[in-house]
Amino acid sequence: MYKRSRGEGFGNEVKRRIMIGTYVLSAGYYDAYYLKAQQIRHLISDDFKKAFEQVDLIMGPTTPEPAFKLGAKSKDPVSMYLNDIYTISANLAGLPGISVPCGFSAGLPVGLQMIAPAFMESRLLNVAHKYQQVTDWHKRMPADYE
Amino acid sequence: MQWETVIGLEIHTQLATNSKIFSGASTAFGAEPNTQACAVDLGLPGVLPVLNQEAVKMAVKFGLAVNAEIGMRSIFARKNYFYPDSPKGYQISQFELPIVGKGSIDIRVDDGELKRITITRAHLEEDAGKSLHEDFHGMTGIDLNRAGTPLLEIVSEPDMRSAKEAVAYARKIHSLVQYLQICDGNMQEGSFRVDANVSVRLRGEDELGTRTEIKNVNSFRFLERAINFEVERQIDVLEAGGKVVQETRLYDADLDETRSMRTKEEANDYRYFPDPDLLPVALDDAFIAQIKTTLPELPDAKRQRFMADYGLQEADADLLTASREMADYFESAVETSGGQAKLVSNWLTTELTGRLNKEDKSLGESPVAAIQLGELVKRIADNTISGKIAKQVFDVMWQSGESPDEIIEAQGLKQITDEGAIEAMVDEVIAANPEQVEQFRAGKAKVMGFFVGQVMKASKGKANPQQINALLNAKLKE
Repeated sequence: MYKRSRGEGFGNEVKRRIMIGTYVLSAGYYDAYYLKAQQIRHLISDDFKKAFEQVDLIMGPTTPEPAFKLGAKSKDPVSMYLNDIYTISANLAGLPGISVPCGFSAGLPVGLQMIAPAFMESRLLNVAHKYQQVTDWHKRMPADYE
Repeated sequence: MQWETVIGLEIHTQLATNSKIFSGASTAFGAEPNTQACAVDLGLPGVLPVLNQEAVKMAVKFGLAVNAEIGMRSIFARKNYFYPDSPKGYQISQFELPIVGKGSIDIRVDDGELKRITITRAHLEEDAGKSLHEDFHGMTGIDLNRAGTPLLEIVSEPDMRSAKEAVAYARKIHSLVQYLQICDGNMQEGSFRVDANVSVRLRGEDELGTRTEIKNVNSFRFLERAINFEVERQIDVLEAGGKVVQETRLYDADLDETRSMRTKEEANDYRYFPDPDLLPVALDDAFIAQIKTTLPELPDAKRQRFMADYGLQEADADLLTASREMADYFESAVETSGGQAKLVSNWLTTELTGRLNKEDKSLGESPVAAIQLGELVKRIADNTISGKIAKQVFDVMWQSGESPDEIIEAQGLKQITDEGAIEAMVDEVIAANPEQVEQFRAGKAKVMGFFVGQVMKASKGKANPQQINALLNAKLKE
């Protein structure tokens, strides 16, 4: 029963991540992976702090490419992970981020990501709101969407 | 071959906070299953732990009492393991930076010498729930009331060299946490749990032997037995040319043996990492200083004071300071008695303790309160009653809970000190026993006891013995 309740209901990707998480925390690997990763995270966080000394907000695409077909990248998890690459940095640095629709590419919607300094959710929401007051991308549907 | 035993203890003490370490649920023992487990204790998604300040204070209090380095910055970590009574799949504990660092405590060993035991560290963590295997017909019930109860795990160095020393150390910690009022010390209810790491090596050897860990010991008596059994077992294995396997062993009190529970190969890899839900705990000097002012007089200091102020012998002072309850009882009784420390000490350590043991009661359950014992001793000291009558009075106190003065009055037990009354009884006894008078006068001094007994009997035990003796002596030698 224990084994079943621990395996059932998790998809392959979730299981993969649990295994990676377990592996990097295992005896002997903590310093090499987890601790190292934490140090790098710290550096990323510092980088953002520096950037925010000069700008109020950082904007960019939410993903490197528009949506791909369901299951198209299951065989190649790394290229699938790459679709997260622009949003992961907000998580790593502990910063608030938001994605708003900003147009279409080959008929598929494209997101605009904004990242604000820590605890500046008010600024972030304010800018996103202002953006949507002057654009209507968030009201449009892809052409062949039923 | 000469074997040396090496023991280190891990003691889990449940801290006596009202609520849990990371939630507001009650920690009271004995409630209906799962009525004291809130969303945080159940590990439901989205909940966040909030550290109980009282638990931190208690941990620091302990640290100060064992002269330990206090971790001014300590960190909570997740200890990952899967077990049904741990709903989150991990236990929040402390790993790299514990709240209490290196400290020490002195124990008294067999030859009466003091021995210093080093405390490696003590860290805060949450208790797990309980799996109940009985009454479920092949299934297991889970009670999460205990999940999240604050624990202070106190880890010693492998400094102890016999089961006796291990017990002395465990008792010392047990007494200390109760003095500090950070743990109720109730071993039956699991408030104070001891795990022993035991190994043996040839005397003179520097390297430690392979150790086993004994769990499931819920009394000091069992701790001593379990260690002794385990030491014998390990020596047998080694002398037969075998190797001790590093493993966890359970003590079975019914069979008086330890049994393998899991070996190292099956042991968990806990994959500790700092808990992202909890900030590091940063303490400042003012916080520590404030806690310092709440420290009570500690057992060793109290023991010294009892010897100096009350003129007690070391052995008595040890007994009377073994628990805070006992020490408080003693001091309260001495005060009521008008400063009769030695008499109170005798009555407390022999009469009262004997009676409590016989009826399997703790001092807290004694029908005779400290003030009552003090009043009784006061009446012995001021010659209202003799020591012998006092025992009668004590019996009645034990049964009825009445005050000694009420009993003495009601039963007419007051000592007879009226010279005339005692003289009359003495005369009567002498007159009634001419034969014995002859014997005494012929030089048989032993007959004196007979006369004293007769007068006592005549007075129903109430005549003052010194006066009887003086009068008899005077009259018989006439």
